[in-house]
Amino acid sequence: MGTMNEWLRNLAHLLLFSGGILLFLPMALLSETSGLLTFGAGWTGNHYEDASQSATMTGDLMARLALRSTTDTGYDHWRLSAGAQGTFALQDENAILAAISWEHGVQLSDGLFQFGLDVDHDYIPHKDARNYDDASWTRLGGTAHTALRLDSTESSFLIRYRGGYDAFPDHDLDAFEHALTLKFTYSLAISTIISLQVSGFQTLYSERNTVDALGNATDDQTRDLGLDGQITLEHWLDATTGLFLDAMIGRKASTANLYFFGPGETVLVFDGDEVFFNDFDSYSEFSAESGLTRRMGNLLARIRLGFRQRWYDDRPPFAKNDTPDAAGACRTSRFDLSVSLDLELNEDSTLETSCSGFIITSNDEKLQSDGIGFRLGLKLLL
Amino acid sequence: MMQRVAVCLVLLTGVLLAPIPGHTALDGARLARVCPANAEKLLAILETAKRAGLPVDYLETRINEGLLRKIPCPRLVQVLEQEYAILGETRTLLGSIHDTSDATLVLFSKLRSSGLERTSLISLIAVFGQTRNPGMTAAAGLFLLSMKELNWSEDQILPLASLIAASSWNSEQRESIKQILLYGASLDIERHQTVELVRNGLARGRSFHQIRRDLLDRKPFKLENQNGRW
Repeated sequence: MGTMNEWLRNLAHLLLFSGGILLFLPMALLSETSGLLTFGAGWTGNHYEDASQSATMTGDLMARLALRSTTDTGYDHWRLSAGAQGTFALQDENAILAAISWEHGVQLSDGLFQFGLDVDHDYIPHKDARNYDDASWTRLGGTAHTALRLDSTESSFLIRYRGGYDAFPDHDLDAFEHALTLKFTYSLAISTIISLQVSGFQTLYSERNTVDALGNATDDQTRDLGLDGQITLEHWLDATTGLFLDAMIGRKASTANLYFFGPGETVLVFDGDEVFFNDFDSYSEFSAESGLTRRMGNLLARIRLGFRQRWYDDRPPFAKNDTPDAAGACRTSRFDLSVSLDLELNEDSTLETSCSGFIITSNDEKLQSDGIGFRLGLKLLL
Repeated sequence: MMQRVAVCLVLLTGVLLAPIPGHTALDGARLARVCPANAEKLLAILETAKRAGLPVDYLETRINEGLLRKIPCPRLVQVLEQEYAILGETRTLLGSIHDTSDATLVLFSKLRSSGLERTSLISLIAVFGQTRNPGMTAAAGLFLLSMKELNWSEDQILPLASLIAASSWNSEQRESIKQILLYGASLDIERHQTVELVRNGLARGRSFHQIRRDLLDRKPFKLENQNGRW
C-alpha cells in the first residue's frame, strides 16, 4: 500500500512537472498569454460547517496561467493553476493544489465542439486527525470531457459528457465518475437570460465495497447515481445592476451503507451497540439562490442569499454524543448569506473583501451549526 | 462623489440628447450683484467670443447655470475661460468636416468640457463627418464618458464608441453593450480583447446573446472545477 501511495504521489508530481514543461513552455511562444494571481487572508468561525464549530484563520495563494491559440476554425486552450490553502488553527487541512488542463475547440457553422483533458492534484501533507482512519486526503484526479453546443441567434443548446477518475492514495474513496449534462439557454430579451439544465451522474467506487448486516465487506462496489434539474434566471436592470435567481432539485440514489461501530468508536469493539444502516447516503434535495450585483464606479458589490433543504431516505440523525436515532431520517436545512465588495484599484488589480454566514438546522445534532467568515484578498491580472 | 458624477452624466444626457432649447438671456444685473469683482471679466470673455464668431448664447447659458448653482465667481471665470478655449479649439477641429455651425460646435464642445479627451473628440468628429447624426454622436460621447466612470479608459472604448456613433442603436441596446463589456471583464478577459470581441461581433451583426457566448468561450481561467473543488 505504501509503495503504491509513493508511486501515485511521484506520478502526480511527474505528470504536473512534465506537463508544465512539455505543454506550457513551447506554447507560451505561440499563444496569447494571461496570468492571474490571487492571494488573501481571512477568518472562518466554523471551518467544517458542523457542530464542532472549529474556528481558524485562513490564507490562500493561487497562481493561474492561461495560454490560448485561436484560429478561424477553433482554438486550443491550456490552463495551469498552482497554489496553496492554509488553515492556521487546523494544520491538518493545509493543502497544496495544482492543475493542468487542455481544451480543444472546433468552431462549427452554428455551434462549437469541445474536447478537453484535466489533471489535478491536491497535496495535503499532514495527516487528518479529524477523520476516523487518520489518513491524508491527498488526491490525484484526471478527467476528460467533450461537449457540443448548437447555437441560434437567441439561444444555445449544450450537451456535455465528462468522465474521470479520482485516486486517493490514503483513502478508499477512489472512484470513476461520469456525468451527462444538457443545458438550454435562451435570451428572453436583451437583458434577460433563462437557462434550464438537467444533469445525470454516476460514481463507481473502485476500492469501497458495501457491507452486509454483520459488517463484512461484500463483493459489490459502492455506487451513486444522481439526477438534478436546474433553472436559472438572470436579469439586468441596467448595465450595472443585475439580479439572478436559481433553483435546483436533485436526487441521489446510493448503495452506500454503514456498519456503525457504536458511539465514539473508530474501531470495531463488539459491545452490543453496533448498528447496520442499509441506506446511508441516498437523499433528495432542493436548493434556491438569489443574488444582486451592483457596480458603482470602480466598486462592485454582490449579495447572495441561498437556501438548501436535504432529505435523506434512511440515514439516521445523530445526537451530539454520537448516538444514532435508528427510527428517524436525517433532515437538514441550510441558509447562506454572503456579501462581497470588490474595489478595482486599477485595470489589473482588485481588492476583494467578502463576508459570509450560514445557519444549518437539522435533526442531526452533529450537523446543527452556524458560522460566519470573512476574507480580504487581492487579485492581480498579469 | 460617484453619485454626483452619475447625476451630472444624467443631466448631460438630457442636455445633449434633447433639442437645443432657446437660451435664457444673461441677467446682467444679477451678475453684477453676485460677482461684482468678476462681472467685467466675464463680460469681456463674452465680447471676445462674439467678435470671434463663437456661440455666445452657449457661454451665457453656462454663466447662468453657474449663478444658479452658486459657483464661486473666480471659479466661474475659470470655467468660462476654459469653455471659450474649448469652443475655439473645437471649431478648428470641425473645420476638417466643414461644419462649424453653432449646433455642431456646441455639441462637441459640451462633450469636450464634460471630460472627453481630444483624441476621442477627433475620432467622433470624423464619424460625424460621414453620418451627420448629432444624436448618435452625442450618444457615443456619453457612452465613452459613462464607461470612464466605470474605470475604463477612452482608448479602450473608442473603437466601440465610433461604431455606436455610426449606428442606430437605441439606449437599451447601448446599455446592453455596456453590460456585455462588464461581463467580459468579470470573466477576467483583458479589456482590449473584450472590446475587440464585442466590436467585431456587433460589426458582424451578431446578437447580444451570441456575443455574450463568444466572451464566455474566451474566458481564460477556470476558477473552479466541475466538482466545485476549486
